[in-house]
Amino acid sequence: MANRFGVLPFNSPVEPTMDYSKVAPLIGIQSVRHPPHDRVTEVDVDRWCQVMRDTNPLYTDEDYAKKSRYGGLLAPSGMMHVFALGTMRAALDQFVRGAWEHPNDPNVKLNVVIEQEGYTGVMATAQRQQHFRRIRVGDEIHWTIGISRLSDYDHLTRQGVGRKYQILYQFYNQKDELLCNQSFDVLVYRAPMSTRRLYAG
Amino acid sequence: MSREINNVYWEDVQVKQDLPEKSRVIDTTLIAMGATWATHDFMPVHHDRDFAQSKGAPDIFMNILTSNGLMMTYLEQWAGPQAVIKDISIRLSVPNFPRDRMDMNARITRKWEEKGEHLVEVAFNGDNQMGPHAAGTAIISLPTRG
Repeated sequence: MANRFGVLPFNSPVEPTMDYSKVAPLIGIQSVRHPPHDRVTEVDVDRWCQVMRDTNPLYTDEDYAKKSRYGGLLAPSGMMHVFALGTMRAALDQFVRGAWEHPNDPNVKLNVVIEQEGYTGVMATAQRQQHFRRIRVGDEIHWTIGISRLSDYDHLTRQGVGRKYQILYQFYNQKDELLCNQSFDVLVYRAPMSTRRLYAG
Repeated sequence: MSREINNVYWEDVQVKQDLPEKSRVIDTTLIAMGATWATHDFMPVHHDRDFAQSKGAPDIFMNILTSNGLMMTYLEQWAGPQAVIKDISIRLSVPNFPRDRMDMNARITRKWEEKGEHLVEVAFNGDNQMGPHAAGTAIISLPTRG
């Protein structure tokens, strides 16, 4: 029942909620393995190091890196996710025209549903990277993506009423060696509803 | 290229030891270049102020890849090139906006040996004027003097 402001209380049984059955089949499935747009280059690493002010000689000094136990230049492990992100053209296709580069991926199918359900805001909230091997300059980073979990109820957050889900990335090099498992927590939210619920108290 | 290379050795660190604090001024260039140039994240909320404001944000804000990169760099710059970050978890709270400053600090919370590696766990924070921007833990493999 609405309160004196005409607003529905949180968890109202008459509040429309997401149909979980539409998304349940997407949980726990990894995508096919995607190839990289390009090899890991010294230019990629240099740009990262300039922005982060990273002076680690394993990334910036070829002579030092060659004499190290790695035998050559590395990329910072924190760059792992960078190599799974698409080109600027692909990003604009996605964000402006809604055309995803990998439309059959489970996270893309999930995004279609949650947008239809009115969760238009999106925010990354957490990330975990477990690193098993270093990235070498010249590597080709292949990757898969999946949804490892999705909340089956709404959360009241500072951003609004939302759902939380967790993406699992797995990164491999050209030798099929697993480099990294990365979880990525995302909040999707209905911003206007949050304002209504905050007034509802 | 000659430069002084400093490494932190496992024998020399202690649980409850604080890492030296570092600060980073957060400006539009860092946020926009961090997103697009360094981390290939072309989501417009990280480089287009009009777009960010149309989504309800007061300004562009830092993407998580840059936040993670700044914190990992902070830890690696302390530990030296022989160290390896094996595992890192980071949670974001208040965003980093232009004209913020992020103060980074960390403390060693655990020290142990496992499968021939000499490890420490570090709890770290990156705070701006509004409160905690990033917080998390990292497991770092350190070299030994032996």
